[in-house]
Amino acid sequence: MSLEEFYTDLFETAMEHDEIVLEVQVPPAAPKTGSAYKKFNLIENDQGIVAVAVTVTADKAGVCTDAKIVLGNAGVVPIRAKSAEKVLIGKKLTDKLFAEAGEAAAGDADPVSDIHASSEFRLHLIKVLTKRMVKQAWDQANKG
Amino acid sequence: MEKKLITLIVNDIEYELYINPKTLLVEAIRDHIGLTGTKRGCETVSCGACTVMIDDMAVKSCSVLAIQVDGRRITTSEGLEKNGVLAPIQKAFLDEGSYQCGFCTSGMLMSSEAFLKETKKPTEEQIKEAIEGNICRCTGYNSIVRAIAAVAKGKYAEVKS
Amino acid sequence: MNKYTVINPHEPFRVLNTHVHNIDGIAKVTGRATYTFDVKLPGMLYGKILRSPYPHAKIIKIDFSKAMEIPGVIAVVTGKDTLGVKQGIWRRYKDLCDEQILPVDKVRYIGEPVAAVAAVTEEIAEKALDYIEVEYEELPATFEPLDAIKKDAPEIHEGFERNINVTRHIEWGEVEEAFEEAEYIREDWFKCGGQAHMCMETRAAVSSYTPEGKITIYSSNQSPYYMQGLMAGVLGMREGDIRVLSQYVGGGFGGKFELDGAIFCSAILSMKTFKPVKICYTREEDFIATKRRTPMFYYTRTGVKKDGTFCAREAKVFTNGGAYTGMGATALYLTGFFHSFPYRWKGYRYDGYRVYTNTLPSTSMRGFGAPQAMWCSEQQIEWIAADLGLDPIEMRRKNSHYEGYVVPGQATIASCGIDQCYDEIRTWIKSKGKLPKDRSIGISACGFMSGGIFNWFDSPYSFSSAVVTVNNDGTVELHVGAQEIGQGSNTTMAIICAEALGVKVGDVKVHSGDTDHCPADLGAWGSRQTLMAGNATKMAAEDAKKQLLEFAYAQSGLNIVYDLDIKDSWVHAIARPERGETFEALVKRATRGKDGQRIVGRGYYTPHRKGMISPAYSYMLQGVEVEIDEETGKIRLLDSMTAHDCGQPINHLGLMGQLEGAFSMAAGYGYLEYMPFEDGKMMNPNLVDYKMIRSTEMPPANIAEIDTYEPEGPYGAKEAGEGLTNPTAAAIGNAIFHRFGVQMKECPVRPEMIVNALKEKAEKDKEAKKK
Repeated sequence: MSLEEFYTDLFETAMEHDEIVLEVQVPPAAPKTGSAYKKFNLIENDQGIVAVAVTVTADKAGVCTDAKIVLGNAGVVPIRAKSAEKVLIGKKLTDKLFAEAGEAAAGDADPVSDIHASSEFRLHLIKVLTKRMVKQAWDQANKG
Repeated sequence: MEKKLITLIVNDIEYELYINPKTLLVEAIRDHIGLTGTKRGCETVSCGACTVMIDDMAVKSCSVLAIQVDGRRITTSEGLEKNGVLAPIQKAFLDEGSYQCGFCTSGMLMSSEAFLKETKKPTEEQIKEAIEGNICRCTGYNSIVRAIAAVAKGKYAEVKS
Repeated sequence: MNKYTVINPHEPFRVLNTHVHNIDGIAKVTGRATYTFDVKLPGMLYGKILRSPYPHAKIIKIDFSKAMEIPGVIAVVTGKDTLGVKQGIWRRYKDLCDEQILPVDKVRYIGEPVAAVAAVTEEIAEKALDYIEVEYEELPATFEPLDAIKKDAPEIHEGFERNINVTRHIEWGEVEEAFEEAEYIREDWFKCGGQAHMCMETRAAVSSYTPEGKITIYSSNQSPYYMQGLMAGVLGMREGDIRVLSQYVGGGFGGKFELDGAIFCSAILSMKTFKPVKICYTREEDFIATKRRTPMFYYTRTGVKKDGTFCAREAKVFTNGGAYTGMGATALYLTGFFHSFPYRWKGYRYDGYRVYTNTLPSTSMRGFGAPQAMWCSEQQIEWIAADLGLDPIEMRRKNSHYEGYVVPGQATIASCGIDQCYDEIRTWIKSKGKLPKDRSIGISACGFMSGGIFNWFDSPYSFSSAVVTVNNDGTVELHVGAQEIGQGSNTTMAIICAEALGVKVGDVKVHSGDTDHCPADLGAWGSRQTLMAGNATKMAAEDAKKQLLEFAYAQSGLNIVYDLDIKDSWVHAIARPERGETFEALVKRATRGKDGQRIVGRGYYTPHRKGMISPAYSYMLQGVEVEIDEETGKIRLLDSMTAHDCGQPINHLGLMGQLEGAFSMAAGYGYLEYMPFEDGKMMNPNLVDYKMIRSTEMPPANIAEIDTYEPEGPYGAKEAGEGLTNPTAAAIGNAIFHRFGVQMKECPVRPEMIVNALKEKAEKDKEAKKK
């Protein structure tokens, strides 16, 4: 099953009681693919408050052909920020689009509030981190 | 729960223990063997005061069951000195004043020692990361980093005659 | 990595301010040092405490019969097993002695002990807690001081109207007149958070009561004498029948010189069982049930002239006292006093109100109200300088204390190096050049006391005492009541003794931490030991030296104009140092001369006529370089410099350690150690959610030590280590102000607060542009 289907709820997976994970298949990356990951924490190497992982692929013309954006600690399971991905796919990416993707990702997220951060602040961080990580991944993709 | 017989080699001495399988390694060391140098400062594997070396690896002994390390070599702060001669890291701690209340010190020494065995020419950044898992409330860490750096630079290397 | 320079060093000493190893070092780095946490006595039982889940409730009934049926459970005690004495450390003021520890009638905060169990193992004791049935009648509770003082708020302690526990008033000059002279007035409200002491060794005690009617208590504490005195009061025993022993102590920071549940419950259990009982707090218990730094609401109004001359200040403070007084009354007073430091005010007025609430009691913590005072004062002063377009360093300098200045009715400043501090920090800032765009520097000045003149404990003894005994082989026994809690007190006393007597530090053996063998001393708090116990130690060593030299003078036949001295264990005429004898040789003769009795020197110190607060004050100015991510608000400390006046430095390694350690704790107060409570419950009582500075967060802590001479201190020394906890939060706040122009009113400052402040500012700027 896809990793997306695997995570079902907070601390729960699709694995049954009598099952065990045997392998995780990671498909080889297409050429001109870059990825980036960042979590926000109050001090270095501490638990993350929110996290954003991005993979983007560019074609020879410099158009984004694929984008996968996953948000961590932004809901009960890792969230594919599909509206953010839609902002990017098929376009030549610019700073304006990075920011737009950030806004869209926040729309896909449903973070909690706790003593470390309110949900509003978490959404704000998702905007910022998504914007930054898409740019970072995109720069990396276009180098390769 | 039925007790189990295990052997722990702590500071080069073999100890045979007959213990409840739930016993944490830190409890085996402190309460069963009676070596109190290793301390406990929390219940959430956060503070590092219980750090020991298992073989040459720094491990928080509150996060491991004693039975999991049956037959393994464990080093605690009491095991750093050899025949009354302090190890380089201990000498460095004395010179730099890398301790105050001393409660975190045993764990800090073991993290430092394990790191020094593993990394030969560390940067300051690497040293800081090596002891990141050990909380110290007294020193502000910089004197500890200075001590580790001094040992890494060879300040306490034995002069071979 | 860190820079340490001494500005105007005084005469070279043999031992003072040299690179001396901490004398407890070998024990601590070899795992030999044992703490109360490690104590194991024959037949010892383990104790656990049952705690109240309610913030305010009457205790109707406690039934522990089911717990007693569990095999291995030996005894259960409740408030009914005690004398019900309301104790407190302010013994002179009976109405402020309000805490029974094991309450008889009602509980006042979540986590307050209600019962304690002694069992054969810790596990059984823990299990037994679930079998103790407590019937409570819940009462309405109040959690914030500004709510607790309302007319209809629930009464927490009988007889304390509006839950006002203590008030303090400090005033000098003609305040209204001084405000009228002012050409610019600013007023601001601030909120200061609490902080946990977070000693690496949690609270721990082992008590052993025997049929002799005496009790021995091993306790991790900052003052064995206070523990002895307070336990005598609550147990109805004579002090002399109580022995308090501290092994090594794993940190105190102001949280361990009052009675706590560990020492109290272990004693009560031992008295019931006639067996040793050990209680060690878990980290969670240490967070929820030991007193914390006092959270405060500050209002401060300051008037200055347009050229920056300070005229008047008035401050009103409400502190969240929590459920009991503790040391909170002193914190209330000191915050008001240090809120004026280090400046001259024509008119100054402070009114402090400590308010009871149904939360964790608040008490002393390193800095004792001054970190809170500086958070408010030093930021407001920076904002005033910005409002008036003045240089913040020069504005501070022209208003600062100086040697000889008298704070009207409060204190005489006998030594003050603050002026040189301004020069040093300016040099440091200049050396940084133009900072990268993400970075800024903030500064903060402050001063602190070297021990208090107060005797609210009502001790009949000298504040500090010392006994120096010289053995026949030239080694020296130094008995002090000064307590070693990691700050290096044993080493500092050994250094002073060695310097005064003329021997090596290695020849001095320090005895401390045992009320059976050591003289009374008020203990390690309020930054008092270097000055007070140091003076006692110096006096005792000089007494012993004088007695010894009598024998040397008798033997020498020297002309009356010549003096003898002892240096490096060498007894000699000062004019002809090459002629003399060894210290050991002199000691042998002196001992024979005294019928085989060892030479004993005695020393003691109590401040007399030294103003209202302290005999001496340290001064400092600190600069912190901070990097802040503008979009996320994440804060990183990159560098710091502290220009510091502690008089004559005594223990070099100790001083560096105190600076760096104080900085880490102070920085934690400034931006990390958030301690939120909800309806009286602490939300993060563990080290995952309570954020502590780690090695990777700590910046360099450079120091420029301004060497001054304090006449009241031993060799001119003053405190170091507590004052250094005061400036950092404000310095961080000022760095934020200089970077973004936002004024942070609440500490600890967290990224979300910065981001929100920036949003607010952006909106305000937008509105302003529209107009």
